[in-house]
Amino acid sequence: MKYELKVYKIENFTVINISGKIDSSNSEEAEAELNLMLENNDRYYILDLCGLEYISSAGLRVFLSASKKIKNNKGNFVFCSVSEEIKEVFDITGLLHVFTLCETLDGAVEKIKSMAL
Amino acid sequence: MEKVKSIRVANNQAELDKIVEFVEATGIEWNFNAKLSGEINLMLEELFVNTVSYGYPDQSEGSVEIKLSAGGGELAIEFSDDGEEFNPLSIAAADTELDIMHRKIGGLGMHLIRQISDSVEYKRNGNFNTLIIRKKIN
Repeated sequence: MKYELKVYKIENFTVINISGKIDSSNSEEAEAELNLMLENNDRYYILDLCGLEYISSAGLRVFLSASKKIKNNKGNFVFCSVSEEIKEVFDITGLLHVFTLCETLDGAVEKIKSMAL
Repeated sequence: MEKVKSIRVANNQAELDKIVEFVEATGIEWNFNAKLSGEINLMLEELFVNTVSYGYPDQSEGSVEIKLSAGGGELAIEFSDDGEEFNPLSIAAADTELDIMHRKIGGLGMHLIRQISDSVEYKRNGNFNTLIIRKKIN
């Protein structure tokens, strides 16, 4: 296992902390695990990437798939604490413009509150 | 002076870990920063996964050779496989402008390689597909 997902609540919002590496060898497992966490009837999520060290296009598919699931459920989500390396991959693939990124977890909580209004 | 290192692996997804270890060890020896090693790993993973997934439709055993060379402010990554003849540069550029709900899942690998590198060249040598990726380094 190269990645770890931890889930907890801040002020009724679900925070999913994703750490380690998501590549083609574990992306299917990560996608299944993340999708399961998105089935808790919440509509708003914070994906905290502070411990994510590496992502390949297989890993991006995990986020695109999660994003579609959340948006199909009329919800929304933000990322926070994204490293420069991961941000570069988001940027190159055009995802920086479609995802909402916050610098800090506190910032993400404020942002998701405004989205949930 | 040019430095060269290479590794040969089987056309099996489980071999990806060997490639990652090879890149990390070479990066340490050649004083690459973590960002560069990460980018090399990213490009090689994209190529390797495509090759393993589509290069051997008859499920035959094959091999992939990866050669890294550095010198004169440039890094060259040579990726050779003995799978079916295929030029990955023929893959259409990914549409990264599409709205998230209309984005196809997949097709980003070659786009990442093109963006991270300075040039990419394809050659067919006998039974081998060879892709040469060049990137300026400090």
